[in-house]
Amino acid sequence: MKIYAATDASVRLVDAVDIAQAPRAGATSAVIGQHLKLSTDDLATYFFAGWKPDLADLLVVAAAIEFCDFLVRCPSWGWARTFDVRVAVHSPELWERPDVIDALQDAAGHLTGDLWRFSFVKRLVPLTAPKERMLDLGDRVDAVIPYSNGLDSRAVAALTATDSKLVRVRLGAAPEDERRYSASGIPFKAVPFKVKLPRGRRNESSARSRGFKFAAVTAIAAHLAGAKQIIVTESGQGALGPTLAVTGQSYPDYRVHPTFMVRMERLVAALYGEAATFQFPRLWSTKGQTVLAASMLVGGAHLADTRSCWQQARQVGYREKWRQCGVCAACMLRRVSMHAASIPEAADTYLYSDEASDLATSGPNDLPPPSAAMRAYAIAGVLHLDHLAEMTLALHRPTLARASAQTAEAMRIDRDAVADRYQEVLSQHAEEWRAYRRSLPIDSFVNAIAQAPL
Amino acid sequence: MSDGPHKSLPMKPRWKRVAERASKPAYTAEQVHEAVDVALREDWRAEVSKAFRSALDIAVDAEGSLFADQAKRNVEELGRKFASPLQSAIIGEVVGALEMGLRDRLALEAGVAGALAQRGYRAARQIEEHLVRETGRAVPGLRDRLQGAVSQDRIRDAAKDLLSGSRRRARPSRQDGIEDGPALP
Repeated sequence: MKIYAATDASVRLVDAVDIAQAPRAGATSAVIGQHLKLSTDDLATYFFAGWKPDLADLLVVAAAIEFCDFLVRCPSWGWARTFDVRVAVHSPELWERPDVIDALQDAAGHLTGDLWRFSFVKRLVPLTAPKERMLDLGDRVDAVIPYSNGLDSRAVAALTATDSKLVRVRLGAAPEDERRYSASGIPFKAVPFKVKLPRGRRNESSARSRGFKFAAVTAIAAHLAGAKQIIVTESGQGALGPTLAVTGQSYPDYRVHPTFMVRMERLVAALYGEAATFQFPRLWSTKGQTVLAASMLVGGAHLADTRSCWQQARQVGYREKWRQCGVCAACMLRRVSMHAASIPEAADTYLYSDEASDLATSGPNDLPPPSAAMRAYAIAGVLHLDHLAEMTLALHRPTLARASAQTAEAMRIDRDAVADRYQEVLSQHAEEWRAYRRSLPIDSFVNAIAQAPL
Repeated sequence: MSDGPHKSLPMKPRWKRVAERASKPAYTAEQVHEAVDVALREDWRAEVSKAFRSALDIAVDAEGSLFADQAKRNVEELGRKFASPLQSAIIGEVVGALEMGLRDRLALEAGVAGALAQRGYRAARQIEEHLVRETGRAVPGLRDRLQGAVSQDRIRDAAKDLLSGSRRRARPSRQDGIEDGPALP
């Protein structure tokens, strides 16, 4: 059956409960501790000043959302799914409050494009409190900043640290050496939960729900650190682009967009009485401008060894080095940005060359050609940046006007000013994209795919 | 898009028809227009439920909501009950039309037209992506032909038609008979 819209007829029941709690009839079990695994060690780096089970419940809710997102494939013809999720929490009376439920369903729905219904039951077995540790955050924390090994987080941390006291929150797993070191006391060292679906049950790969996980984790860290702000490190192309140059019947990607973040602020405020605000210091800059600004700091930020590509080592490892693929959307944006900032990159940074005339011959001679999936990523990546470069054309004015209005409302700033900023950042992107393409051979596959004027 | 797996969805047959016409110069611009018009109307029929249509009518009804702000909140509220990319776009565009001071039927028509235009441009990007996958190269002139075919005038007409419940033919004219040649200049 072709599904075009979320309906009650296609609702999926998921129960994220303790192992001793029977799921509802027809519900898929997401057992806390088994499918939704909270790491005691990592939790300890969050709750170092005292155990707050109500905050930990937000992690369980985020894990439940991720479980659902992975479990049910987005219908090819209509994207949206319908979920009815029951979650076991320590204080169901808090989570069942109408303002909390409404904020939660609104945030999850806006992010993933699905319909979400939540209900809550009391946990049978309270989550075990992690051992408290002495972690010193200093006497004043202005903001928390998510970090990974990415270009944006490295550059923005360098730019922001000059005038603020920041505490870093790692998104994703920490490398092994950092995990060992952190035993001595780094707060917020890793996302403190993992979602594990039964074998063969992971059906959806777009992982839109990651935005909820990252926003929830940083909001909890800010709450615990007493920070009033959360720094979103994404630059304009990454935050705004995926909501503008959308393809086909896909739902726009709001993962790091102000309209989603403001919904998360509302949820956290409804739950805990106050919420740190998400700040976007680089929203109106291209990634190239951000990288350039960071590279010009005294001492310069070390950016060359950052990682933008999400491909695993088994896909892009070559001669004992975990390279970056060089052709996916993330790599392509990195290439454009490093070019704009005039930062040279080592020859072995990427696996596939952007100068080849054919993607099939863009890799090393002793490797097979890129897989069909990699080829599809490359084409989508080039076209995304190319389409984004044309968003300032007159025919897209209505789209930009609507996007500006929504963004202005979320950020509580003047709509006309936001519209001007959209134009500026997209024009700058178009200029950087053009300059990058001009640096490539005219017959490179990038120029063979892209159609924006050179 | 730039952070994590890109998911490329399949093209619907109606948009494949648009792709065929837009990529072959033998088809006139008018024939590409026609195929886009048909595809958008079919998307509407598939994705926009009767329940959503009724709820939308009630939400923007001036009699029931004396103030534009109330109508806006009513329409935004629909996002909690209905989800599909096209319905979500309609909600966003109708809210935009209300904010611009349009009311009732005019807000609906402007909103639906805006959402259909968005779908047209998004489908055009999808067509480009699918065709590049076949050859590794852009089809010359394809983007211009597709963008030109998402005609604002036609979309406004389609929006009015669809909101009035018209069951207008949703098949493009065929031109495959032995007597059918290209249109005369």
